[in-house]
Amino acid sequence: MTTASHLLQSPINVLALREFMRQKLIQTLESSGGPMPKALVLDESLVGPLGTVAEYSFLKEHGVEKLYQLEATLETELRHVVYMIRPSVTIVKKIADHIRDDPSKRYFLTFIPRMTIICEQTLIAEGVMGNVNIQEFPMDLVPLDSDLLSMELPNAFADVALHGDSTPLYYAARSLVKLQVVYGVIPRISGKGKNAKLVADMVSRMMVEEDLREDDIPKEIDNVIILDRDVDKITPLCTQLTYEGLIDEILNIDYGFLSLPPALMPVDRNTVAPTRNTKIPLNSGDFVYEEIRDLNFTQVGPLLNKRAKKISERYEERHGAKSVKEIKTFITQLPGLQAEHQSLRIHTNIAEHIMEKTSNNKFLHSLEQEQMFISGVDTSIASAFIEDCINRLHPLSKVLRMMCLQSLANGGLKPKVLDQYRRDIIQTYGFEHLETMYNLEKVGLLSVTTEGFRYSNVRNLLKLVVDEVDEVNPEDIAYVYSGYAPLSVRLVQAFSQSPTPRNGESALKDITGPTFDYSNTVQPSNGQYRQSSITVGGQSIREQGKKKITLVYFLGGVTYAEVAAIRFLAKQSEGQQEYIIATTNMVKAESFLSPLFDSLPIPKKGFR
Amino acid sequence: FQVRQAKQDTKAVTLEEEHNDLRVAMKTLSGNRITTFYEKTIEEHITLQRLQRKLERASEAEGRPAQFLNLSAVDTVYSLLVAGKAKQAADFKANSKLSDKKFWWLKVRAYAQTQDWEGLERF
Repeated sequence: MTTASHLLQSPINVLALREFMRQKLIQTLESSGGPMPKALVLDESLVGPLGTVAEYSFLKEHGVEKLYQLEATLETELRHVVYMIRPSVTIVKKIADHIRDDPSKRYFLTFIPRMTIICEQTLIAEGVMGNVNIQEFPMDLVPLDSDLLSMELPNAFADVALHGDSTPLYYAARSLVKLQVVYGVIPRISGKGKNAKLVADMVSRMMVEEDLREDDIPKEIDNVIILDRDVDKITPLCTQLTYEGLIDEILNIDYGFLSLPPALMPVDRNTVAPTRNTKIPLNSGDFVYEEIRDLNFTQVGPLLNKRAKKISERYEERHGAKSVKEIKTFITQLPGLQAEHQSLRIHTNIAEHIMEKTSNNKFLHSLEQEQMFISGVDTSIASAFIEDCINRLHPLSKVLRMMCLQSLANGGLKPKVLDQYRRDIIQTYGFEHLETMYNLEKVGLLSVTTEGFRYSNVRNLLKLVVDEVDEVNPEDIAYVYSGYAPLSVRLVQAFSQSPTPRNGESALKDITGPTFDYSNTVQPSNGQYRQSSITVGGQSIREQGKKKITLVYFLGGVTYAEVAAIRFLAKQSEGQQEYIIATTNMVKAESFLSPLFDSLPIPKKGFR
Repeated sequence: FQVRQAKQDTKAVTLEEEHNDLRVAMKTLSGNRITTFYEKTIEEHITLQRLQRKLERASEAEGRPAQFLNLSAVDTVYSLLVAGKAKQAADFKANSKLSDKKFWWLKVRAYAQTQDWEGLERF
């Protein structure tokens, strides 16, 4: 569980958002049987997000006696059981089993973010509706860091693009309304993409219902840019090359935490080697990490080295300390020094591990091929590289990722090439992958050449490919993918300049999906100030009228490298412009594609 | 996705019945340029399964029953090669329209698997 110190240094007061949710959480807990000691049962997917909002001691203060993860059976002596769950039928069925095992207890169900009709029907069908009290807890955006908010809905892109389920869009719209309740009305809303427009429209409808008055709450956010992942499907398929991005690609970051395998945990004489994975928080609270997370990975090694030298120099200072006073100052610095030392050792281990993987030939070849596709080399013919991967039986996910990248970078594949690839896959990996092919085609990741989106035009207009990238002292966001500037972030740049530069305008036209830009019209206040009901812990650090604060909302996921690129934009503006990033979920190539993979049910045993 | 429907809902006991279901799914797909690929693939899948069934029968007749059904075309040829049935593998390759290049790859892999270094050298 986490403390919140890393949230202090934020362009907007993110702590207020966290506080807002903590208040709601207390309400939920208190209305579940008052002050009685209770058992809290969490659905596994909620442990992470809830952890970013409330630590264990906080829950304990509010009557949670014991914490359980949802399993097939529940064994607890506590009489009050509170469930916090996602609305899923399988979960509800498990709970129904618990209730039948012991109907004498009191059961409270809290759906996050809300109960669905199908869950209600399941409860009725299972005959336990009378035994439960139902609540909803609208937890949506959780702060992963001081400038990064996420709803952590793992399949947002697939849900919307493939299954036509607009629930994630609805949640996004509602979270945008909530942000405006906490941080004031956002005067300007712009964005790109069909779903982005849908969300913006939903927001303006909801704002009317919320009856927010323009000057009820001081405005903290100047404008919001909503981007639909559908507009830029290329970027999440590229290998991220920032330190944080590579950690996510290779070791996986979960709700701002890295689960570090024991082998990578530094050990010394005084500590025992851990046998299980250690959870390491990855956020701006750790200033060693803060310094290196967004750098191109090539820069991480030298920097860690420099830091290590500095720290040993500072340890050496103790020999120079002569007077008691000097020794005292040294000792007061010691805990900070030790924390820094420990963090350095951890990150040196992680960086070494990543280095091993990235200097591997397989990795380098794929990266080279990836960059060729992005810069438009050989995109129209069947790639020998991809064929080779298939023949060598490389993981299907990798093969498909490359195929999608080629298809997108070429604005679709020639029908012959596409059919050849697909046939190749079916013949090699089996008929059961037919549906995956269909899914990828449906969401537009694989397609035959169309007249619509011309990636090559957009690439030239927005200078997506930058040949000379200075990875040491980057001047452009392209450093995050070593030469490729993420399309999404180029759009953020285009929207941030006003008026939008001409090449940006024409690029926006070349990309499918509506572009919109309007001011948020809310009725002016009629003089009656409504008291904001939120207790805000501490004032925002922002000085009025000095910095511009932009919220960038990614629908369908954002990568850590894109986040790094946006942070870089803020740095470049020299304090004129700050960004907050919100998203439905954090993605990387693997988690972006895997919800689209669906194998057909093929019986293991043949027919007889 | 109708093919999933066909595969999931099917109460087909025999291969023939399943193929009928698949054909029904195929009909709903037909008539569209975009879906020709899916139709063709289903057709090929049906052929493939027939061939695999034949292989299973043959292996049963030999007294060494082996399972081939539901393997991919490549895996089928591979297991034939590893089992040393070069002739059958070549026939199967021709009938399932695997490319020559693929077949070479498979041979190399199979030689390596069975540690038939002489075969690899001759190749």
